[in-house]
Order: sequence, then structure tokens, then C-alpha cells
Amino acid sequence: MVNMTLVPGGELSPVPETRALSAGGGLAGLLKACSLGDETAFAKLYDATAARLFGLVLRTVRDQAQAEEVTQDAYLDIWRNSARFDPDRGSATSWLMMIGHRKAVDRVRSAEATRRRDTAYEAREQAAPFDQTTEEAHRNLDAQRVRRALETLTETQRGALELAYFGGYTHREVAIMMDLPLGTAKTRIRDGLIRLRDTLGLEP
Amino acid sequence: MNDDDIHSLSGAYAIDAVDDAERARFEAHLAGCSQCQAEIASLRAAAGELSLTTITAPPPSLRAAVLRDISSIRVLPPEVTSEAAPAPKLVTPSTPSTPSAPASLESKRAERARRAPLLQWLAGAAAAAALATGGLVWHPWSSGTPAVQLTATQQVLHAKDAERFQKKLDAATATIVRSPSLNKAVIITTNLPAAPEGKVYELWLQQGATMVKAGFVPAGPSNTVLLHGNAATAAGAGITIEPAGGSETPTLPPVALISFV
Repeated sequence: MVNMTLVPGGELSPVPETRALSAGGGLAGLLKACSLGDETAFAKLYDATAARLFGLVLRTVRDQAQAEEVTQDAYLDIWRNSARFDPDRGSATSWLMMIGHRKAVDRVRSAEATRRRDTAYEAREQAAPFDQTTEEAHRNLDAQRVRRALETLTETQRGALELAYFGGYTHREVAIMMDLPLGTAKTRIRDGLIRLRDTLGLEP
Repeated sequence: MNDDDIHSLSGAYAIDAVDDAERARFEAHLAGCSQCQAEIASLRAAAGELSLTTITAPPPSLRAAVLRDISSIRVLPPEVTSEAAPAPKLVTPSTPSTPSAPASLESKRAERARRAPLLQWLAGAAAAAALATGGLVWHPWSSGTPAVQLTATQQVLHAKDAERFQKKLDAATATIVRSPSLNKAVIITTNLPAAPEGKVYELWLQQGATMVKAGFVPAGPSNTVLLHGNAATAAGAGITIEPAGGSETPTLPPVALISFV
């Protein structure tokens, strides 16, 4: 998607949001500023990452109002814990998405969300996982790159990863949903993530 | 679960596709396995890239709400390793529950909790009697915590405000250690007999009049599991036997109820 995005350390320019993010190092700097109480830096951090984090949360919780609530909760945690971000243990993007993902998973697994959970429906919905994306994401070069990387996974690896990551299901639940022997889903998830990592050229 | 098994859980752990018992076990392993720590970091980076395929702009009102709220939230201090350190370094960046979340979020949660079905099985006199027991407060570690990497479970066990509640169940025991300041609780079970075929032991935290699921504990001679959810606000914890995979609300009579009050 093309937004007027404030590039970290740069100026206001029309750039694809994820291109701005791929600059990477800027986010760690913004987090550092946040840890010192810099609310302007936090606003920049939000602008550079919100569509990505909100999209992830929305994909998992599926409900717009709940996704907004969870995203808000995640960003407040990001602010609160900004001094505890350790760049030696992973990238800022990875840290932010992990917080958003954990919050989304907590939400869908909580009793509050029970009424929205229908395993059979979810399983059908998830059958064509990566075809459900927005037109904007399709246009996005980074999305295409990730999509191509996903195509290198086996069908089982991709399906298990999809159910676990976007669906918020545990590997045991995934095994049942996909009729896999118990203990197999976790292996498929790991193998799929490793292949994704290696295809994307991320450091092991 | 041997080391090979636990290592194969790295992918599921990296993307939160584990239950609480597995999370606790994996984190205990992770603390001493630099190979797994590196793998987890790289797999999380890979998983984070998946969010590039689901980009969706949030409404502008969300930005305003977030920016409004942070101004009233204090940034937590960095993790330090001096003897006075209140917070030992986490192996993984934590996403703590938010006891200090803004009033709007909290009130929404409270409203949902009020709408949730009341817990029938706490109403009985037997349950009330069970709740009347326990409540022993215990401060096992009063000196500073060592400057080592601690899992979330270990942090609770070592917390200065750790409270201990114990319950005997025939030959088995269930001990809850709760740290209100960490908003977390850990259950330690001993001699828990195997659950019936196709059943599991599910954990619950009592929030108001509602039992909120808090994970699972396996059978066995000794197990330690971090409970999921806000322990600080809970009035008690329970264990029930549920169908494999667990239930959203307790469906069978409790094996044990432990009161925090």
C-alpha cells in the first residue's frame, strides 16, 4: 500500500510502508527514544508499523472492533516495555510483531472469544489461506516476496504454519484439524518456518 | 519429554502455538540452550515477515487513542543485572498482561466478564468449603534475586511477594505460587494420577464469579506450569478434568479448588 509515511530518520514522502520498514535500523532507534519517554518518536513508530501490526491482529481475531482493542493494547505494551527491547536478541520489527501476535493469540484463546470460535468453519476458511489478502498487499513487493517464499513450502508445512500463526491454534489443535499424527504438526511448523527463513535470506 | 522432543517444539513455541504446559517446559529448556535461543530468534523473524501479507490500515481513531493513552503510562525501567535488580532478564521479550491498561480497555473487559456465564460449580456448599481452606502466605525468597536469566516460571517462584497456597488431593498435592506484582501464578503438582482416557487436567483462574481457563497441567510425579491469565486479580484457582483439547468453561466437577483470599 502506498501511504504518506514518515520514514524513520527521513522526511515525509510517499513510500510503500513496508519499504520504509525494510530500512529497519530506524525502528530500533525510535524504540530507544520511546524508552526515554519521547512520545513523538512513538508516534513515528506507530505510523511506520501500525498497518502491519493491525493487519496481523485483524487476520487472527477477525473482528474489527476486537482487532482495534488488541492493537491498542499491544502498542501500549510496546511503549511500556520499550526500554526492554534488546536489539541483540532480534530486530525491532520481529519484536513488535511478536507482541502483536501474542496479544492476538491470547485474545482468540480467551473465554471471551468463545462464541466466535467455530473449528469447522475456521478449518474451511483456512483451506486457502494466502489467497485472502488485500489488494494492497498483493501490490506490495514485500508481500509478493513472502508469498513466493511460502510457495516453496510443502502443502502440509504451509497449512500447519498458517493455522498456527494466523489462526492462533496450538500445534496439537492443528494436528487434529489437519488429521496429522500427534507430534507431526509441530515438526511441520518448524520445518516450514526454517524453509521460510532460509528462502527469505534471514540469518539463522 | 526428552531433549529431542523439546527441541522440536521450537517452531511452535516461536509462534505461540503451544499450550501453557509446553511453554513452561520449553522456557525451562530455553534458558540453558543457546542453540534454541538463536533458532527462536530467527524463526520469529521469519514469522514476522508473514505480516507483510496481511497489511491493513487501522482507523485514524486508533492512532489518536494510542497516543492519548501512552502519555499516562510510565515506561518500565530497563532490565538491569545488579543485585538490586527487581526484574531478572527474560529469555524472551515478554508481553505482560496489562494490569495498568487504560480504564477504557479495562472497563470493556470487565463488562464482558460480567456478561459471561456465572460459574455454576462454585455455587455449591462443597465448593464453598473447599475455597475456605488454604490461603497460607509464604515468602520463600526475601533477598535479592540472582542476576541470571530466569524463565517466567522461575521469576514467579523467586518473586519477593510470592504467596504459596497448597492443597492435598489423596496422594497428590497441588501448590500454587502467585506473585501479585508479576501478575502471574505457577502451579506445582506432585503425584497427579493419569487423567481418564481422552481427558486432560485443565487449569482455571477465578475472576469475579467467572472461571477463566488458564492452561493445562500434565499428570505425573512432578510438574510445574505457569498459569495463563491475570493472577493478581484472581480470587482462586481450580483444576478440572476436561475432554482432550480443553474446554472454554469448566464442564466437569473440580478436582481441586484453591482460594487466594
